[in-house]
Amino acid sequence: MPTDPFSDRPAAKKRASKKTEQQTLTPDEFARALRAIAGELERDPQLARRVTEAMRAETPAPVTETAAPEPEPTAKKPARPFRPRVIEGARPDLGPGVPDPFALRARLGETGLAAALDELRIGSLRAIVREYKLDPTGKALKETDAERLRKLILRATASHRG
Amino acid sequence: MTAICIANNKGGVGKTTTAVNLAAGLARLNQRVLLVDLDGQANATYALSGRVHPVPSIYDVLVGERKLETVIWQSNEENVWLAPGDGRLQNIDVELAARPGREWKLARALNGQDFDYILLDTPPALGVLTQNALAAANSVLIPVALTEFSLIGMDKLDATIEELREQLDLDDLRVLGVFATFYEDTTTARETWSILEKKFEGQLLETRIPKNLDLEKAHRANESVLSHAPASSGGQAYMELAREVKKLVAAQSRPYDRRRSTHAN
Repeated sequence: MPTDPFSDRPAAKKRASKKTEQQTLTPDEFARALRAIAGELERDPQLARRVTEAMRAETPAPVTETAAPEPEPTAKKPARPFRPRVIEGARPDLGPGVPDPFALRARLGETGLAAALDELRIGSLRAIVREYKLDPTGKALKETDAERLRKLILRATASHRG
Repeated sequence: MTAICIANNKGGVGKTTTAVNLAAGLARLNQRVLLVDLDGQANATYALSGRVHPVPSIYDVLVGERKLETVIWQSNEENVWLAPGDGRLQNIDVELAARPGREWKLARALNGQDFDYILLDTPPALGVLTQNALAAANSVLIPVALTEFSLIGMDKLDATIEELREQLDLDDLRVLGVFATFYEDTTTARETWSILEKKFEGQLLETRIPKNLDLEKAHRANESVLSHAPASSGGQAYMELAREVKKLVAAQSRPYDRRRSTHAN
């Protein structure tokens, strides 16, 4: 195996040590790097999926109690672990466009419809209420709570069916 | 019908955010809008439907496998329809390389569509997709981020528009306007703005889109900022941009019949 003929020289060691220092990120730089990575992952769902798979595959073994260090009495609450926001998107079987809640209920039943609605974000839920005229008062279109919209859709499709 | 290409060869200047929110703004002015997502990242598609890389998409139209009508959806915004994009668009340059009339595929597909506005969201490159968008458009809207490096490389877009005008005989393709995005009151923004004023004299729009977190939150909620946070600074600015664009288009508008010519073979 080839070796670096200059590695024993003091200057080379100094350079190597300086390089290591330079490679250490400051907290600010580290935070910026993480934000940049998060941005990339949001922009590129395929990359996000690959990273998630890789993270799942390399989950470290659980730390035993004896190995865990004693928490310092003055220690602050630990920061939440970094988790990239993976964009999953709505299920392909919802079909194109604004999902039809009546067709979904007929096909998947109430539980299936509820599960499908759980995956949708507020923009899609609002669109369902608007497109299928589930709220004659129009008030729900200003609703900012996704859970209330889900309940409204479940209620409206159930009463229509009954 | 007016087809507007939202273009800038730089990434991260707010093309998709503009496409999504301008579409919603025009829809609120009682216009029927079709948004065509030509970016392989398909972020506009996600922002207006919650779908990630759906198939079929505009890709299938450009390669001749489908008619445009079969890939148009109702989006999450009222009066806004979507021709979605997907990841295959990233390799379409190769697919279309040897095909004759490759710059005219989109123009041909848009002929006969019944919308007041067609907004074309383009990738941050000047490849065949942006060429298709420019060839299909009546006008170009150019967002410029007021950041340190925003003006570097913009000459390339000017040159491409000029080159295409000559090559494809696009005499009536015009720059509808250049407008500022990510605006905040900083020295860099002020300096960049004054450079823009000189460079695009007479083309610079009055509306400036501020840096506003609600714009990003709206994407994540799969709706426009006008639905998500209409009173936010971003929401108000995009509504203002829609009014300004509508006014400009009304002043310039001509029938969308150039693409019916023999170009589209």
